[in-house]
Amino acid sequence: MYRTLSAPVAVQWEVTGQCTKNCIHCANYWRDKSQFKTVVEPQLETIYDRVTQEIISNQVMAVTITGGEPLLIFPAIKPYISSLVSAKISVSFNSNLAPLSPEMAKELWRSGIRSILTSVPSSDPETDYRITNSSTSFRNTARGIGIALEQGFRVTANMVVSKRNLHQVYSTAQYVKSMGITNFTATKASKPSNCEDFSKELLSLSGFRFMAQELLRVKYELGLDVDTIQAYPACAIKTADIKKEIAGFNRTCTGAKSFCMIGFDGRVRPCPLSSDFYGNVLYEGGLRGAWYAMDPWRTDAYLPMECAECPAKTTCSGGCKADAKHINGSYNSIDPYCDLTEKPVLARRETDLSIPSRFRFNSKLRTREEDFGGILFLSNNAWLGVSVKLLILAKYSAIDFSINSFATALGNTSENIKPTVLALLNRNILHSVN
Amino acid sequence: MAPEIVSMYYSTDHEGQLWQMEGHCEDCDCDCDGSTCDSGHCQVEG
Repeated sequence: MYRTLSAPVAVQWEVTGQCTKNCIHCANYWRDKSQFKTVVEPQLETIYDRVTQEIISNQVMAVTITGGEPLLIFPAIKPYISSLVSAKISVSFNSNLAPLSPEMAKELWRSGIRSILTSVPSSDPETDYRITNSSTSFRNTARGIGIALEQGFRVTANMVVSKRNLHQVYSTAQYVKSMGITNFTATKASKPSNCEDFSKELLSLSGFRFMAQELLRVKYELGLDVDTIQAYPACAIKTADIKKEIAGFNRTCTGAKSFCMIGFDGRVRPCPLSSDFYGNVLYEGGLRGAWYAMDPWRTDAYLPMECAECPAKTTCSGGCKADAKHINGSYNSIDPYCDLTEKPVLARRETDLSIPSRFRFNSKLRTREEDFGGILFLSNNAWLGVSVKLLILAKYSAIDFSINSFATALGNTSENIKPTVLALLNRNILHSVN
Repeated sequence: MAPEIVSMYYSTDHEGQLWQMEGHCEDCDCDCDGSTCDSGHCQVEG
């Protein structure tokens, strides 16, 4: 169903299993096993070195450093972050920010990181404690956010929403806004793979819809940029406004299609929620071998039978595979948030872009060859697969174009090539020249 | 398809051909073709 790329476009790299908190919703499947304690410092350096080499040699475009809590081992990981940045790979950072000091913030900035995703479970310290199991969590994360903002980082606050904090989505958005954060995401908690019974925490479908509605209210009333950072089934949300205003509720699962996880021990998994691994970057085959081994995730092998006739099946692919497995028993089970009573509501976003008289390729554009041509990449949300002709044009043409010269360069007509130019302008891969 | 842009989707119903062949996105009923609009669900996001 999905094209097999030569390697992931983006990876998340869990550089440690250690954390300062023990959140009830933590997806890290080793949470109760303390396996990470068997990995000692010299082994870590070997692993970090190999993972970095694999990421660079496979031309992965974007890396998110995550954990556990990556700040706990920041001195060890810093040289490798610098290597990734030097290789022109986009590097972002997931952290609870509790351990962040002003000195560490400066070091993080110097290493090339510019954006951080942090977790804010609640506006209420008591609820925060009941979720994180850390009495210092609320205070220390608030302090860390202040330090990060002061240093100039773009900080996005993500709230993982369970029954414990569902009623606090709006107040938590108010709270993060009061700290100076302008980007707020709310993401439903998923059942961790090693958790026997998560039913007391898991949102119902109506609870999930309430979360989405509150997120929209945050956008309208507080003016924050809002999103959600998990892929949900297309039929879970029926409200057209939510689909139109919040991109994340239209998101396709990218696990094994353009994205994968690399664990602190080198194991490769399709997504943060899945505990199944398909290879190890440290062993023969490396990242590419593991990537190809995830082939069933790219076919319709895991498409639930109930979704076979759905018009949205190619882009929805049945929702979250991990939720399906952990709650309903297998990857090809139905996502627990599917609502098959009506056809999915699909957003239609209008674009008001027009084609400027002169335009050129973005100088920050990066490219990667593929068997079908290649990839033009600006960011996780701005990349496209393209033909060999367009790939070559993008790589070697640091000149201004008109629609006519662009069409001529591709051996096409101006009228035919307009949708292509608009798609590239939409993603800022092409930009107007004043 | 928009010329020179390559879809990430295949149709398993048509022996591996590209899913969107007619310049029309069946999923969202828009004329984007499935790989050029910004609807979010017509593209594989990283």
